[in-house]
Formats: sequence, structure tokens, C-alpha cells
Amino acid sequence: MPSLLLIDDDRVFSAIFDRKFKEIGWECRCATTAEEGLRLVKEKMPDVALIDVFLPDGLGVDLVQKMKALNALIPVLIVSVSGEPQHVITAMKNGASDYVTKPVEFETVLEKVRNLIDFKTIRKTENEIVSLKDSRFLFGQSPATKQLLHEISRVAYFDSTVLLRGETGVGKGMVAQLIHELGPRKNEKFVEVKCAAIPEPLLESELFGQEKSQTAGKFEAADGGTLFLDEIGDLAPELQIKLLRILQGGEFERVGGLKTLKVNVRVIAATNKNLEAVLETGRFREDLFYRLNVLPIFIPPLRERKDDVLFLAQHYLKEFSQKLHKRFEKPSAEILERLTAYNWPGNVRELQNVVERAVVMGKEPQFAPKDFALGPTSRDPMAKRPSEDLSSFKSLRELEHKSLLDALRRSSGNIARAARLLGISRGTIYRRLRKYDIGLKLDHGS
Amino acid sequence: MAPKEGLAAVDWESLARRVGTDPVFLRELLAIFEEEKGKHVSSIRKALADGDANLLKAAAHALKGTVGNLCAPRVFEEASRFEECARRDGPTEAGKFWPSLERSLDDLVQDLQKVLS
Repeated sequence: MPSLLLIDDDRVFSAIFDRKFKEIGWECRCATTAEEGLRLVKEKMPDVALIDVFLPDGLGVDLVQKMKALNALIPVLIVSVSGEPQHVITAMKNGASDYVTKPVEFETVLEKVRNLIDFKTIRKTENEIVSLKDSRFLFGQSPATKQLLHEISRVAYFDSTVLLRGETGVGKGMVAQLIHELGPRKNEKFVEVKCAAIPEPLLESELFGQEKSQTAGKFEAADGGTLFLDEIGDLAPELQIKLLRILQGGEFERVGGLKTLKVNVRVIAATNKNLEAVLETGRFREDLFYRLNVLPIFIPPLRERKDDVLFLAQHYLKEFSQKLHKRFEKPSAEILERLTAYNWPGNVRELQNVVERAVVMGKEPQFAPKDFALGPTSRDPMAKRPSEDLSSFKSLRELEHKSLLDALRRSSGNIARAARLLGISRGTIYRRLRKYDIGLKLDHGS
Repeated sequence: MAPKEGLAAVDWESLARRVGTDPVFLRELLAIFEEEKGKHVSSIRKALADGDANLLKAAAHALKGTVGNLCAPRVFEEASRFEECARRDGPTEAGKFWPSLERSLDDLVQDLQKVLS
């Protein structure tokens, strides 16, 4: 909830604007003097301040300076009555961001303060990203990435549900974590659940907890903080209903429990699916989609932000070289050209893998072009395996069994991904697993 | 200094757009306006009596701002002209137009009270 401080001795104006801002869910505090305004700022820094030019105990322009001394990033909108141009100019020189002239409509003020908050948040985000100096949040410098950071800064600030969309490997988890760390819940927990990685029967307990064993679920674990639900498009219909309820009122029951629990969790969901298309098949609830899609963010694939490839590659080269205690010279122009020309279907994750492999395989001090294995090999170690001779299988049953095992190995035991590789539904793959008595031990890579 | 003819005391359509139509809130707003108006009128009277140009300028300015909230274009224009005169010509000259503005302010309050009672 954005917060606003209105410092104006015109109580009629304050009453109208206080009511209007509260009607749209903003936190609004009012002061009629400079002294009171400054006290409220020290108590709690507002996101934006509206200051009248003339106050009973001083000039608003002087107050701007004092506020800026407390927090240089706080945006100030000067509210003046016509006939005070010299004061408005001084206020702007003192750090006010913009001004409006009374009488003024609420919508005009709202638009201005929204823009100011956006601007402030972007500056704050950029400052924070720089100050984080944290390789977990590595983006790049392309225009598409700058646009993405702009969107992240906008949504981080509010407490609404975010839906992250983008191909596999673009960094949805990283974006979710960054939104959390830049948002109002940054000091609370960030809990992640990969919906597709957990077998359906277990996911409900994982999310909502188990009454019998008195186990808390991830929603309870994330209470007060953020819950990141990855691969939300794979959520079973019965769990979609439960999730919808929790998003609407924060209420749920543990599996097997009767007591209604309430949590305060910000949900960030992510999917690589075209959810609109899934809606049409009826496999995803429309009401849940709209509830999740409050603040949608699309993370562009790496091929659409080629300017980032070399930036990221250089970062990973340094990181993996340090980790593996190897020293390489800068890759040749030919290698850099190949990296830039490649379309990175596996996105940032694929780039990381390619670079890690190059560092492992490469012979110091010079990388060879062959060290950077681009193409299917880089994405999927199984993809280039010589195909089995079908005639070696005694029966179709044996072939199906082998295909299932292969798909599970290739997906590291991830059922949803294995189903996708085989082009069948999750329900079908579970039936086949039962049919061939393939246990979930495969989920752990054995 | 005479106000323009044809400007309604309260532009109700604009007021409804700016403030809403909740009668309880409108009455609350009117009560605040009456208090504020009372304060500014007292200051102006005192400034005119004492010949205090600075107090007059400040009070006239504050009065104009407060009136501007209520979508009363005729009174707002009159208050603007009064403030301009106070700033430019001082208390003696502005004092000539004060009785007319004071009457307009009373009329405005009466109009509002009539509709909101």
C-alpha cells in the first residue's frame, strides 16, 4: 500500500484528498504545519509527500529541503495556489519533483504522485541492485532487460500477486526473489515451491500442511513473507480451488484438518505455459488465472536480449574459473561471435551450462571454440545419444518401459517434464509408472 | 472588482465529481469550511482594522485556496481579485471590496447549507 503525507493548512483540501486517497487503498496522513509534517516524516517515511507552499509556521520550500536531508529519494509534489511562481521555482530548486496549482482535481494529483513513486522506485531499485552486488541477481544491460527491471521495480513495491511468465531458463526464480527482496516483505521469509516437481498427492500437504502429522505447509512457512509458486500451470484442479481460496482471503485448512487457518502471504507465481491456451482446455481455472494475473511480468528469452549474452557469459566465465581455480584469457572473437549468434533456446540456464562446461573442459590459458558446445548437447546431455536400434527391443511393452525410464532420467525425475518429453499428460505418465511398477525413487535420480 | 455575472455560486456537478455525493461527507466538509472561513475572515478583518498588509496578504491567499476547493467559481474569482488587490494595493484599497466578498461568502455557506440540510 503506497503511503502519502499531505502537509497543508487548508483543511478542506486535506479532507477531500485524504478521503480520496484512502478510497483507493493508499495510506494517507495529514499535517497542517511544517513542524508536524517533519515529525510524521521522522516517524515513518512516506512514499511521496504533498506540500503546500505556505504553511502557518514556515514556507513549504524550506520543508522540502529538510525532508530531502532526511531522505534524498523522497519525491515531493508542491501544491500551490495560483500567484506563487517564485516559491514554486525555489521549491523545485530545493528538490521538489513537480507541482500542481490549486484548485486541482484529484485525478491530476494522483497521476503525478504515481509517476513520482514509479520514478522513486526505479531509482531505489537501481540503487539497491547496484548495492546488492550479488551474483544471484544478474540481469544484463540490454534495453529489454532495462524494461524488465523497470517492471520489477513497479511490482516489487506493491503487495499484490505477481505472475511471472517466460520460457524455461529465463530466470523466473531469480526475478521472484528480487521482487521479494525489493518489496515491503524483504525482511520476511521467501519460500519456493516447484509445483511440477512434487508428485500430485504430496503437493497438497507440501502447500497446506498435514493435520495428522501436525506438519506445517509452505503457506504457513511463508506467513508474513512471500511464497513463490513455480510452474503454477501444472497445478491439479482440486489444488487450484484451494489456492484460489487462499488468494481471496488467506484462509485454508491443513490436509485432514477442520480448523481454518489464516496466513498473510504475498504470492508470486510463475509459468512457462501459455495459460490463456490452457484456460481454453479447461485445465486451469479462469478465476484463478485472473486472481494470479494481477501484476503480470513477461521475462523475455535470451535470444530477444542478445546484448546480455556476452555480459552474462563474461560474468559466468569469471565465476566458474574462480570456483574451479582455473585461469583463462578472454575468449577469442570467434567464440564471442558464436555465443552472440546462437539463439539460446535454453536461455540463461543453458548459457550457464555452456560456460561451466567450457571452463571444466577448456585447457588453460586459451579457450578453444570446441569448448563451447552449443546446440542440443548444451541443453540436454541425452539428446545426442545415438538412437537405440528399435529391433533390439523384444516387445512394444519393453520399448515403452525403456522410453519411460529414459524420459525420467532426462528430466532428472521431474514427472511433468518427463511427460512433456514423451508428449503425454501427467495423468498418463503416472498410470504408466504404475503399470511398469516404476517407483518414485527415480525422482531422486537413482 | 465586481464579480462576473452568470457564474453560479456552486457548480454542483463539478463538486460532485471532485468530492463525491456522500451527504455525510459533504456536511462534514461544509463544517470544516465554515470553521476555516471563520478563521480567515477574522484575520482579514483584523488586518484591515490594523492596516497590516502582510497579515492581509496571507489571510486573503488562504481564503482563496479554501474557497477554491468548493467549486464555487464566482466566489473564487471574487476572492482571487481581493487577494490580488490586497497584494498590489494594500489594506486601504482592498478594504473597499471586502464587504462584497464577505456577503458572497455568507451566501455561499447558505447555498451549501440549504442543499445539504
